[in-house]
Amino acid sequence: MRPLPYLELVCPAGTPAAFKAAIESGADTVYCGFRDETNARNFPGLNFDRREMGDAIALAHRHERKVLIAINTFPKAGHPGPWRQAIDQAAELGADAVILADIGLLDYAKRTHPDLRLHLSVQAAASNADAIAFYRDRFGVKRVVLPRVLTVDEIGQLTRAVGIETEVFAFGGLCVMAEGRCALSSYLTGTSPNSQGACAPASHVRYDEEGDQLVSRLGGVTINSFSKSEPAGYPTPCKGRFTADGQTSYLFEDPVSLNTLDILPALKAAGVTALKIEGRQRGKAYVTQVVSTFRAAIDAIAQGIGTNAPAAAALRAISEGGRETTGAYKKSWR
Amino acid sequence: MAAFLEFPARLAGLAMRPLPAAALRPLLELGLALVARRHPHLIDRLKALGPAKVIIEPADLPHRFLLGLAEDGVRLTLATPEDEAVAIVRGSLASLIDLMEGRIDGDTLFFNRALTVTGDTTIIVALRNIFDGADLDLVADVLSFLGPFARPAGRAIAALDDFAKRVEREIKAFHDAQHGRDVEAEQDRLKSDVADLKARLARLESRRPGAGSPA
Amino acid sequence: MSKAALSLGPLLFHWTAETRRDFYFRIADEADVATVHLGEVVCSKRAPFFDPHLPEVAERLSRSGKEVVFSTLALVTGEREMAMVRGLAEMGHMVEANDVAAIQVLAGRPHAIGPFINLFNEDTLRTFARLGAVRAATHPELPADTIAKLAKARGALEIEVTVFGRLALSVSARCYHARAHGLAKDSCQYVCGNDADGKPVETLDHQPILAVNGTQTMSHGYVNLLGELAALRAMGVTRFRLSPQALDMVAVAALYREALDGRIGADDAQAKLRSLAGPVPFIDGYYQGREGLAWSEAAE
Repeated sequence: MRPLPYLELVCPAGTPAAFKAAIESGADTVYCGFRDETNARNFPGLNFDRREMGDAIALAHRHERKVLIAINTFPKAGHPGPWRQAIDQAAELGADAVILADIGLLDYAKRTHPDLRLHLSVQAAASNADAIAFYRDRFGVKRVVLPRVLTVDEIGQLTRAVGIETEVFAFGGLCVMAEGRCALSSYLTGTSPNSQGACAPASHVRYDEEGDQLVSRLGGVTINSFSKSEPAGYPTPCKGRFTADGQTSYLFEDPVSLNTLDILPALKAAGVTALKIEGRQRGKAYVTQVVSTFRAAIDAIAQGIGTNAPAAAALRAISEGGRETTGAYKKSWR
Repeated sequence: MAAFLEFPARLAGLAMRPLPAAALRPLLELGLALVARRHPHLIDRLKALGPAKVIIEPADLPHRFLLGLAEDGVRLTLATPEDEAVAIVRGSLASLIDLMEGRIDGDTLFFNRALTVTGDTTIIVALRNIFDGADLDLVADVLSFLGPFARPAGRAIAALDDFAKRVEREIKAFHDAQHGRDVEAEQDRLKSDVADLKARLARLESRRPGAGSPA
Repeated sequence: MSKAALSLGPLLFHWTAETRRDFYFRIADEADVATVHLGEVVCSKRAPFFDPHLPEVAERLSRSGKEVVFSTLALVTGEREMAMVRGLAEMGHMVEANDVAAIQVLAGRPHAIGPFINLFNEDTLRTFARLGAVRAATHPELPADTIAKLAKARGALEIEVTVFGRLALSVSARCYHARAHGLAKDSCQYVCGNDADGKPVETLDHQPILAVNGTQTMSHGYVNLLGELAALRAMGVTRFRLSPQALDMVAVAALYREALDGRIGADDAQAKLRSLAGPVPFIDGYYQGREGLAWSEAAE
């Protein structure tokens, strides 16, 4: 029997191999997406076809774990087919919930599959009690994944106010803009995370070696330049170096990953139901390391033991730019 | 377990020497054939990525490899200076092998600057994701091919060691050959040895139709 | 041809209360626009400066025959900001929702959907209409064919498209103006007030690319759909938004009015807008289905 309140560990899988790794490393729940534009990690070579999804769900259910299917992009006008089909398939395959962002699609899911559990994707960026009440009251959403714009105190207040489950990001890539409300990548590339499901799509990324520097460009626009041994970050505009007022800096955010190992007890006290690990685009080695570290940390907290400092430090090595932050969870970040 | 993990490193050690192209070519073919036999789904997905050519450049080797992806098959050959590719991926051989087997995360390598990608980033990301999802294990692939030798594990490792030592001997012979002996003849000898080895392994495998489950 | 109303979007920059008041007085007296949006969209910390002037400005605009619409914050967090949204809803004017919180508050009575709401398809549009939306501003990322599809599915709802001004590309909890000055949002000293048109941001190789406006990030170029007005009207778009910049917005409004009424040739109109916009480049990439910063030279 799991002690209550229990923090559910929700882990990413971009491939069946990563899915297996997540289950073996102690994930309570795994989230994944179909291999098309219906999910926000529509990267080349990633994700699940229908057969792989069915196998993954069977594997998880054999181990009494849950599977959430992310269908969290915004359907294209005049072309709702792939998104509706993804919802129909998720229901048929026995997914434990679907993670949605689009209001029209939530409406479709509720009307067509009244028994399908609905989670609100972070891509909806529902950052306050009224917005969450909208999704709860109109579509019966059971859980909301909170955008990375809130402090731990705000998360606590919100969780108490909304009366549905909240899920927060615990580790991984850090969107510094409100999720689903950022057009920086499409501004440079013409393809949008909201519609095509990829931020800084590989098709528009170039790395050029210029002298001793490695220059990253997105859509032909210079994002960053790294010296020889300098740790690198993703070529997303929000982690780029820019010049303002004659000063060059990481104007929006440094290349850095979110890590909440140090504030897990506070998140638990805030009443969140689930911790989400970001990284469906990462390899199974990442999944294994991060999931087992968080598994151990959650279990340690449940038993009243402190977290494992060496394991936390080891995660730094797999972080963007080799660095970590607690992001918006602390007010000073703003 | 340690002996298993030694294998990629041993291969790397072998390859790091200036192995003649003629000797490497059949080894690459053999390696790819071993992978293809155990992971037909991987090969199908790689084929679907093409037509494209990618250069793989182990930073610590004198050689560059050309991975050809096309509808009719996947080819791994030595790259010549004239070969053109849509993308180049560069890193230490150990990193590249780890990446292929999904033992390390590609983004981590990139963040740490242990991996460099130039050209068409899409195909490299796709390759990375497809390999990571394939549960490739070069040691297990070789072991499964060894058929009856695969069990007990000790014998399999002995067989591997024997294989590695033979190749090493041949390389030493090749170096000696460079000091006055006939290089062409040495290369031919090496080629025929590798062909022998392949035939022997194929025979062993055919005697054990059930072979294929990982060790 | 359907009717064509010009609307002045909410002022997104942090101008001093006096500058802001004088701007709206001049708009009330001189600008040929049907609708004027008031309300702080970007940062709740800025709102108290102008709040004392709001009734006076709203009254003057109404008196000059302009419809006043209150736009809500684009990113609402915490009790205080939710209270701000509820406060706007009680002012008796039309309210434009820029956060789903506002839709929850406004549901059941006529309201507008702002450009910060993720409206990408017909199902979402119909859901909004069912909840009482009578007007919807399109999301900046939408290409022409999507705008056409939404306009076709609009029913009784009016569709509004931003045809001039810097595009808001993102919103954050973090203030980038403060960060650029080595400050945090809580101790920001209102440095966003130093840049009336946004703080210019360049790439490492000196390409002007973005403009920072507090917690908001904007395009460097001004959207210019002057040459697309007829096409938009043919799709069924009836409202055309001008987003205020630190330039002669009365002249910009007059020019767009002339263009909508067919009283000025395409080349003349572009030349006139060019001279009004100064050195800032134009963009129309999203409309053309391309990267947002692109500019179709054909229109120049």
